Amino acid sequence: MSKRYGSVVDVLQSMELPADQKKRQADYIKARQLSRLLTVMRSQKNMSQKQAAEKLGWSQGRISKLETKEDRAVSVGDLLDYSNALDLEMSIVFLPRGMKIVDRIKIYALEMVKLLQRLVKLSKGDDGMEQAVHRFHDECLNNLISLVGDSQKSMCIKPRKELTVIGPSQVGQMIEEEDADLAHA
Amino acid sequence: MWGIEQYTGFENQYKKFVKKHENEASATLSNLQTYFEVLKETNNVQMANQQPFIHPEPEGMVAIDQRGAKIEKKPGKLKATRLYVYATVVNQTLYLLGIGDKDSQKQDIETCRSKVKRIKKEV
Repeated sequence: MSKRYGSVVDVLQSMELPADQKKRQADYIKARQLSRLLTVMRSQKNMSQKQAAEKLGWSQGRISKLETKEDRAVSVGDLLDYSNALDLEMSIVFLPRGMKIVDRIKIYALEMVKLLQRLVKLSKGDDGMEQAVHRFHDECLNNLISLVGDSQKSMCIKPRKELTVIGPSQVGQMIEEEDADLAHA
Repeated sequence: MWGIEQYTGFENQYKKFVKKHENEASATLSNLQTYFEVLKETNNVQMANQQPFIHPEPEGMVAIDQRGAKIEKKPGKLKATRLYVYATVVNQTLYLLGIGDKDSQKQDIETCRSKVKRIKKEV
């Protein structure tokens, strides 16, 4: 069975090519993550470039160029127009450089709590809404436990070996037993 | 979960191609990554095959072109490139079959076609 890779850059890294060439090619691929995301989002919406172009009043060529542009050359205006065409809301997030994954998870968890608090505030004074928001909290809790549990289950942790602890009193007893066995022999 | 596999002979063919046409190869690999991400996110080969850089080929394989490549030295002198791949949802694998230009297209398609037939038997 041949080796399986999770990305094209991983395939490239596995090849016996000059290091500088591999780097240039990997950089080319990595420099287009944002424009690539646009293509993926459009495909998820089951929309062709032509349909997106019609919605935006652009030519198909302009869409095609945007979807292969270097990320540095993509303008915020283009992103806003594109997200409108896909009926998506765009938000920009700035995070501290080199932030750990665990800290990111904590940020998202806090963001979720903030949104839940907004729902609580909005529902105040309306019995029906309060009931619904209360039920939604249950739903969130169950889903979260199930999702985090699934992620944990996907890990293959080896069972820990049991530790044998022997204290001085047991050692003394063991020596006595051994001596007695030798005496009998 | 989707993964990429290089089918027998792909790496050697790629190494030969990239020596002469690095810009085209980089753009084609970038389009390949886009194709792969659409596959991963939609799990829909038909949807992935609708991308403008995709050309349908026999046996369900497709060819990815160099669209979007940088034109640095000689404008308009980019070599029309075809990277042949075959995606199957059965084992969620994207097979890299071969790469070449228009001059070798006929031969490349024949070679890759027989590779796809073998893959279909193996999967």
